[in-house]
Amino acid sequence: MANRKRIVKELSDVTRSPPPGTRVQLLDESDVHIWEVLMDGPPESVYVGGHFKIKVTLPTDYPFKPPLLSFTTKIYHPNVSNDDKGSMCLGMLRSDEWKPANRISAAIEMARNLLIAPNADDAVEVSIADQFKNDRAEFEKIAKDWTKRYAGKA
Amino acid sequence: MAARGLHTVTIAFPDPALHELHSDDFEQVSSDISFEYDKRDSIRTLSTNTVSPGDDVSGLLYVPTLPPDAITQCKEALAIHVPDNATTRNNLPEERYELIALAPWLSPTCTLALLDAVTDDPIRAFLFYIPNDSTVQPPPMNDPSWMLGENGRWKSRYRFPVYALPGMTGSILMDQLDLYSGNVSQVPYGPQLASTFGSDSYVRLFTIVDTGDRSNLPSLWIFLLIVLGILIFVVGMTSLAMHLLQRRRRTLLRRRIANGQVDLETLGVKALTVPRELLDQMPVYTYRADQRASTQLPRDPEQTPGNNLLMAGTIHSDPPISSPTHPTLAPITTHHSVAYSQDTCSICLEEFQPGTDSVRELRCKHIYHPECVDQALLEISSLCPICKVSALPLGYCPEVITNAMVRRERTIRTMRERVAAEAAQDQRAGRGHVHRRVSPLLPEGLRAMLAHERAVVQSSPMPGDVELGAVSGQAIPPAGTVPRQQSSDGCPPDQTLSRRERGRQRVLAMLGIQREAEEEAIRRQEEERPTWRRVAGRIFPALA
Ligand SMILES: [Zn+2]
Ligand SMILES: [Zn+2]
Repeated sequence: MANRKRIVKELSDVTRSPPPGTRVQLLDESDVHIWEVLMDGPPESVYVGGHFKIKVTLPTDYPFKPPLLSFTTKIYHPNVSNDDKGSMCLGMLRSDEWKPANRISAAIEMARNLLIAPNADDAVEVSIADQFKNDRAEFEKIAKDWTKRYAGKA
Repeated sequence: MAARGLHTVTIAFPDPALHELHSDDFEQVSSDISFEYDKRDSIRTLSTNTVSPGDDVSGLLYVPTLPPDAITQCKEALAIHVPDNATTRNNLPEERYELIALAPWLSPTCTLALLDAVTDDPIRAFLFYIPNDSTVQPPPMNDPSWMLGENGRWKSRYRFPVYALPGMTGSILMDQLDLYSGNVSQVPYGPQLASTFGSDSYVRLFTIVDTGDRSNLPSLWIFLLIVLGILIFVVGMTSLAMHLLQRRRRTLLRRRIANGQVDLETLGVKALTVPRELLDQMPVYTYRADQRASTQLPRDPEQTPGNNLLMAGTIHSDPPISSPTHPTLAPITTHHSVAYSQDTCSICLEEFQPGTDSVRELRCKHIYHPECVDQALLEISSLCPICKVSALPLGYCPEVITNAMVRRERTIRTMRERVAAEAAQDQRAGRGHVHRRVSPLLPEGLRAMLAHERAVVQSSPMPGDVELGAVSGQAIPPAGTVPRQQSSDGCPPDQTLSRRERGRQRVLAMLGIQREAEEEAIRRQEEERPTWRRVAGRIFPALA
């Protein structure tokens, strides 16, 4: 199907000019459907200094269905599920908002922007979102602590 | 059932060994010249095995004989009460006529021996009497005198009913058995009977036990059966009515789909795909970007106002391939006006190569490589990947409209109406806030959607009361009709549309965004229905 051609094109585009602070590679050279994104914590965010791994899984009917983003590095963030999946699902990543014209690089950029500015109104972790809204200092303290503890090494 | 009476008569019938017998050969002898005896109210039932009220319990009356190896004491005890010539098996024809046994109630051992002695006979009942001159009813069933030393367990051992008669009745019958055991000439009025029935006839006693009236009182079972029958009838009629109602609803839905009032897929009622034959009728032509500069305006700009503003490309088409049977498919002209700036296929992200790439145009005027979009339309969804407008012809109706589809469509319609009505109320009351008055009955998703939708309504500058009143008051067209109106002529939202129309469209478009979530929730609800509800749904399709 056209699907593989497109994925290869996107992959070559994104490796040539990745979004700032990220590196993209295939998790397994033989499978273009699973990407690994290495994302440095953006300097303007509380995650600065951290190195996060994000697994991008492309469904078989990509680009008609959105890619699945999951943080394999533990992260304290209202929009990332605090479980072994670490999934992120909002905005363009939702199947009803996804358009085939969207690119994976845009999804990666959106993830990066969410590290800079979490979206507490559309959170998966409600308690973290509450803390983010009402006790910013404590939120930043824990987020920095987790970053140091889990995302320290590159 | 307790026996209510005992009737004994004399009958005459030819010797079956000499004649071929018919049922009407058995004749009751007139009571003037024979024995007839009726006993009411003093019969005691000891066991009712196999007998129900109204059953015919009758047979030739006889005295059982103890087997040769029986205890001598029993034989002697029996001999005391049984006259020498009383009718026994030997005085009856070989044929297995139904019999009724009569014997005195002796010691437990001897009584049990008597009961055992008849088990091979075709007997319908056993009549016992305590050998005394009593004329009153024998003691009740559970009296110790009937226990036979084993707590009355004997009753369940024999497959015939057992009755007890007053002593006097027993001995009267026994004496008569003594008279009616020989050949015709030896019984009372023998010569007279012999001349009537023939000298080789049998004249014997025949006993009928009155077991009560069958129709006297319907048993509990019959009552329950009647109730059950009524219940099944009611359920059946309700089910039938509901099936008819549901069929009507399916027909109506089909009609509304055909009229273009409902779009199943855009509504999220049913995921549709494009059948191959319809796909083949959708226009395919060669992309000609060289035409882009020399944009050809439509001949009549009045008909498509605003078209020229966003006109980006005009495309030459291949020879027409559309079928006239589907008038809703845009008929292909030599030039195609493309309302959107489309130089890239948004599925493969490759630029269209002018002159070489062929493109498939959907109803919404979006173009793709056929090799990119066809598979998706055939297998995944009939919606345009970009604008989510159905690529199927207006009014396309799938072959089968299921009850589930009817149900979903109703649910979604109700939801939309409720949301629109609430929005209208708020608007009418002139309230400015978004998060108020969200009914606690609404599911979470709907509540969010409601809030979202209110935000849109209230941020629009129009005076809302009239517009939204109209929205909630009329049947709401599904969200799917909105983008279709915008795009069917290849135009962006029409500037000349009334503000009311635009406000309404915006509300509905916002509702449409929740489509997949809604669809998902409803489908999950459907799947989680327990089996009994699914069965109930089959029987009562209008439920749920
Ligand atoms: Zn393509
Ligand atoms: Zn479209």
